[in-house]
Amino acid sequence: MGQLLVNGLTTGLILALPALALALSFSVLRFANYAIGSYVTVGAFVTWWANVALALPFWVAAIIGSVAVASLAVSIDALVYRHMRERSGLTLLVASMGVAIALENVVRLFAGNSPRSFDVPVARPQRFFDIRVNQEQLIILITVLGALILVWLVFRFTRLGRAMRAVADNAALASVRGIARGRVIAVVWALSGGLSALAGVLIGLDTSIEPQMGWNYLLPIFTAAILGGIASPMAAVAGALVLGMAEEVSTLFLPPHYRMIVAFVIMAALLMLRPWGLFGTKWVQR
Amino acid sequence: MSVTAKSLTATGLVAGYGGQPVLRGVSFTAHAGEILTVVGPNGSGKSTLIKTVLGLIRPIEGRILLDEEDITPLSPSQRANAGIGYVPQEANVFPNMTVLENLRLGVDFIQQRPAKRFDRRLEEVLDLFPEIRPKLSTRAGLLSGGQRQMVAMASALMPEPFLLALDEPSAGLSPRNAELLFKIISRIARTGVTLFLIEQNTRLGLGASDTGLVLVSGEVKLSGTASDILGNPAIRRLYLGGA
Repeated sequence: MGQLLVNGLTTGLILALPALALALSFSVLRFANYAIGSYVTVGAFVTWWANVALALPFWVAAIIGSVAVASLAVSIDALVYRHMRERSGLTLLVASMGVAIALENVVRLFAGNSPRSFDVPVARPQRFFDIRVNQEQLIILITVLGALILVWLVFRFTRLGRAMRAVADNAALASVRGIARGRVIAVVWALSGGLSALAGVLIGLDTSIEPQMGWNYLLPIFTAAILGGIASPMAAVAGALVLGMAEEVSTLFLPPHYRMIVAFVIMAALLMLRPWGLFGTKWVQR
Repeated sequence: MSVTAKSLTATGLVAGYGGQPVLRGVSFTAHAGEILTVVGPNGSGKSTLIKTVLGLIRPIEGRILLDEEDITPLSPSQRANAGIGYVPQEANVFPNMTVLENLRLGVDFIQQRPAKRFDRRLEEVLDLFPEIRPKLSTRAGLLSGGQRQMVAMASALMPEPFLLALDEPSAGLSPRNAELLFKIISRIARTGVTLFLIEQNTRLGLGASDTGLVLVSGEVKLSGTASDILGNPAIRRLYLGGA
């Protein structure tokens, strides 16, 4: 059971970053960005390219991947979403599907379809009271917790964080309080892209890097965000941890390859019964 | 508080939604340091007028001046930085943030005139609204309607604006709270701020004002001193519900 919980925590932590990224953009822009999975994929591939093709240290490559996807997300907003700002969330969702398909095919065009992995030294797993924790899990734990603490500190204690929360709370009032919404949106996209890319790096470290890796994680990311509360970024993190644990514990009763069903069932039940999530605010419509 | 109020002048404002004008050539001046209240029946264009002044709606024709400065091309956030504070009728606070965070957001992104320490300005504003002092760490969404209105006004006053625009400040308040609010509005005017009000409660609004404007079907039917408008029986009967 202890091993299952550690594995579930790892799954939840990996999901926490893109779930946070999804909830962050949803809270400010009021649309669910379907391309979040593609940001995960692009982040992993850019990091792989910097790590393997340019032979840069893994952490330097991860930073390059995150910065690249942060810039990409801001550019995509300028090219696509900005022109549809006043349209409905459904229109923007469909536009983000187009972005997702385009990005995935660009990745396939340059990198092909075969799976690959980072150039990191292999290390023996550590044992704590009969629970096996491998090097990748420790890296995931430290990276995700560090990123989440940093985002929380920015959210809670900085002018920028107050501006993001203000625009999410009441965009019209924020504008008459002198907050330039366009700048806040650019920062939100940069954060959203950077966090998704970092998740891609961690998924690549845990499993492998392939063009459809983001697509494979799309359902759990959406479920985690909805489970916590898609309009409440930090609640989405809690949702990710709950989902990660639930998926892992389900393997006690179900074959492991059916764990995706858990995400499906949770998402369906929530959308019917509690669309604002376990920890979110009640305004979200069914 | 030592703010030098500025006048607000609108000339020939034509504005509306989707190219359809609601305002049809509205002109007025709110002189520096006075309270100007716009009254009129439902659908007369009062909300459109305040939104146009704030930059939330771009006028089709006409100009808006703050003293001599033409602010017509400025965005809402630029107008806020030019010295216009605004308290909307509804959704006038950030409900998921504390009262203190709401007040801090009043100055976070607006250049203060003159630059002053946050704590010092906070004390000055809380002296105007002592009711919200014990609520600083409460989430604004949990406050009563009257308390929310006070937080909204306090937040708009934090950067010491030259002009404060209020959209139906008494809406949804009990008669007692509405009267209390208008006493505070009179106190704010005495600190050297021009006040531009849209108000449904004609008696209260005009009663606290220096000048008034009667707006009907997007046109100015009457303007003058508030007491003259309140004392005009034909205007009261026709446009102000006999108030």
